[in-house]
Amino acid sequence: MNFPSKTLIVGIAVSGLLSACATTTPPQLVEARDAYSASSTGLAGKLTPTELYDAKKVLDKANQEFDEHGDTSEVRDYAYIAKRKIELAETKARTQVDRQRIADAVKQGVVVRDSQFKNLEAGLAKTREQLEAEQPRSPERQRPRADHCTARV
Amino acid sequence: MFKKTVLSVAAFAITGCASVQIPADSLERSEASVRAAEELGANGVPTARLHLQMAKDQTEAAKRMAENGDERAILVLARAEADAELALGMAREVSTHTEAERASEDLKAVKARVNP
Repeated sequence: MNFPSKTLIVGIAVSGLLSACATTTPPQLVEARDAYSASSTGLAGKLTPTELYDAKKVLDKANQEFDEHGDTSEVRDYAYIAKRKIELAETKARTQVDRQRIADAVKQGVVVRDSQFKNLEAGLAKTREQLEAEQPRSPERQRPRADHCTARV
Repeated sequence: MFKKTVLSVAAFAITGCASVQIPADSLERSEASVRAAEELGANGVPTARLHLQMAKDQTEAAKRMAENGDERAILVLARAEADAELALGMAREVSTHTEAERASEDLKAVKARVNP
């Protein structure tokens, strides 16, 4: 290998290294991107898409800033904000699930209490019917006792 | 010559000492979220407390940066706002989760009374 081609290879390697260093994605941006792709296919994607969209807009700003200027404090700040917004979307989604659980429990409670009340009513009606069926016999049963009382007096 | 020097010194002093105006609505939102999170018991939830503290620290940092004319103050305040909102969301999540657990327990108790 002659000298100019050696220089060329070294030059290419150095410039490759330099460009690789210049475009290293900051960890905040990597984390925000990962968090967004996980959230968009998860609970937040279904239950809190508006909050997630809000986060996406900030993530887009971070990506754009990174594409235009590389790793700057602005990129890191936007990525930080995007990550927090994604976490908030997740938190709100879980809160929504819990709110639904509360609503379901209240609704089921009403159904259970309603059926309990209906059973009680049915039992009461049955008892009343039994009492009414027994009523005509009662005076006959009581008559000898009444006679007995009269006889005593 | 003297006039020029005085003018340039004055211009330097003005630009050097100029403070950055941080958005009042952003500051209000951040502080309101911090207060609401504290009222909801964020200090009792470790993760929420952490974000609450971060929000407070970043708000103070943003104010200092703004006084020193650092334009990054605006983004640092936005970071504080994001942390404050997250702390509030986390406190709300814990409170709602506790309520949901209680509702499930109540339902179990009612069912047990119906079908002992």
